[in-house]
Amino acid sequence: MTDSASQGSLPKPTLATRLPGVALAVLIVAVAYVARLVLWYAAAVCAG
Amino acid sequence: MNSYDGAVYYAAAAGLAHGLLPYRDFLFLHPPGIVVALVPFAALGRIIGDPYGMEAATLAWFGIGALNAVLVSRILRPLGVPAALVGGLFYAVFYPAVFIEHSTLLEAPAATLTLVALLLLSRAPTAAPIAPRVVLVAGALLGVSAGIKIWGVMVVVAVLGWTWITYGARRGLLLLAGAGVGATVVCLPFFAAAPGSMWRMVVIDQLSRPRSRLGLGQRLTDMVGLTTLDAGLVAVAVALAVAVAGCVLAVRSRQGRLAVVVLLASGALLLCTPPWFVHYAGLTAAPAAIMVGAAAGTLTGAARSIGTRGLIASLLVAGLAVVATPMLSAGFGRPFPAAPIAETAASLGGCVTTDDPTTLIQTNLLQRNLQRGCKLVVDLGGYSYDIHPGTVVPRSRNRPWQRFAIDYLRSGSGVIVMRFNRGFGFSAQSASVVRGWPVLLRAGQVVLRSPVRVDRGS
Repeated sequence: MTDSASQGSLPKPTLATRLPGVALAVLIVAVAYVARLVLWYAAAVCAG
Repeated sequence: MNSYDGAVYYAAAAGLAHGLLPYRDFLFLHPPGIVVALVPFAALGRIIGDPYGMEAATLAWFGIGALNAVLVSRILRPLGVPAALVGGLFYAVFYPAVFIEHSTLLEAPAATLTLVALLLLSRAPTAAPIAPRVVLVAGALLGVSAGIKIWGVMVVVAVLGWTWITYGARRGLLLLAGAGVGATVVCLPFFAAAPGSMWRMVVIDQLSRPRSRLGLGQRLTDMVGLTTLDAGLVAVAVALAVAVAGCVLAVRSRQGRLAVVVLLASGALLLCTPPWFVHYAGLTAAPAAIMVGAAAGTLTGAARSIGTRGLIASLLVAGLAVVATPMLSAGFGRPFPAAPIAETAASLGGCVTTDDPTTLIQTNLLQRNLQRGCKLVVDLGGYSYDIHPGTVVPRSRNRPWQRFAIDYLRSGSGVIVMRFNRGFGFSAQSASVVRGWPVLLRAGQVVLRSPVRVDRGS
């Protein structure tokens, strides 16, 4: 059986099965982006 | 104002967008990858102004940081949701990672490429041999990463060792070939234009930089993310002990083993490199995050009872809060009075010279300088390593550099000196020469002067 054939026999992921992964990614993106924004903002407003 | 280095890279990209090549036309002490990466933003800056081009690049770098955190999580996903969650959130708030991605530093895109390569290598099925093209692409990504930051060579060596042991010699050689191709694609056009200069600046000048006075304690403090806290060596020792325990737990998974190999190799390099700056610690941030996530996965996987799982989850949440603490207590940088300087400089003919390209970017004078054919100096301090390589004499006593710096600054119709002063960069005589130039504008701590012919600094 070829790779593509074996992949074809696998059940296609549904939205419900993808949701936890998507939610995890969204949470991590939000935290990471805000953390960098906060550090940048702190650097911009703190007088040296 | 955020980062001298970030401004250096943006100014170099602006030069490239105007047809000036690093190494051939101006000094640049890193591989060319970061210049290429920033060219779209510098090109945008030509249209909307460099202050906005720089801001767009900075926002994109935040996005790179978010992407890197997701990549860490994605690498760990096969080990379970707790591993992916802990690893991703650890990277999201780990100070060395946040630091390299809050301004346009070269470590951020280098980390992205490394993480994609690690993802490709670690997601291969365990039952079947890894596909050659996957190894080749992973190697190419690592090669491009080394074309951004030369220390990526150490990551290539570490991943090569892991690939060789895990998948065999042929796959190892494929990875090496891919890395060679990737690095060549990035570097060759610039190397062909100025082979001698590029080799000297990127390799010789960097290797001959004097060893930093910041010792092992400071390096370890930065690497464990305690830079902004006055936590002391005991806290660093505790963090290192936790890291060692994490490594022991992490090596039970393939992802963890790969991360630990890269972490140890990168960490060893950081302890040996002659100079030291806080952003260097960013090199170990990504493998450290994967290691932490893999360790969390091992811990949660071993827990049998609900009570034990609850206890481990509580400890992990508390641990992430501790990791985020240094990030929240950081405070550095200073506001830059761009508007009054730009207004005063608008009437000046000729070029505006500076010891920090941030001034030219924030005042939008960089484009004007380039359009007027002014000499592009993106890293005035860096010339001290190129003019007098291998010297242990501090910059303030490096006479050839003092002459170069004063001659360059004096070549402008306006000059802004922000970085150097007497004892830090400048000799007493050079500082006196700069102070002797008439003041055009004083805005806060920033002074715009008009150089006149006076005695050379020495």
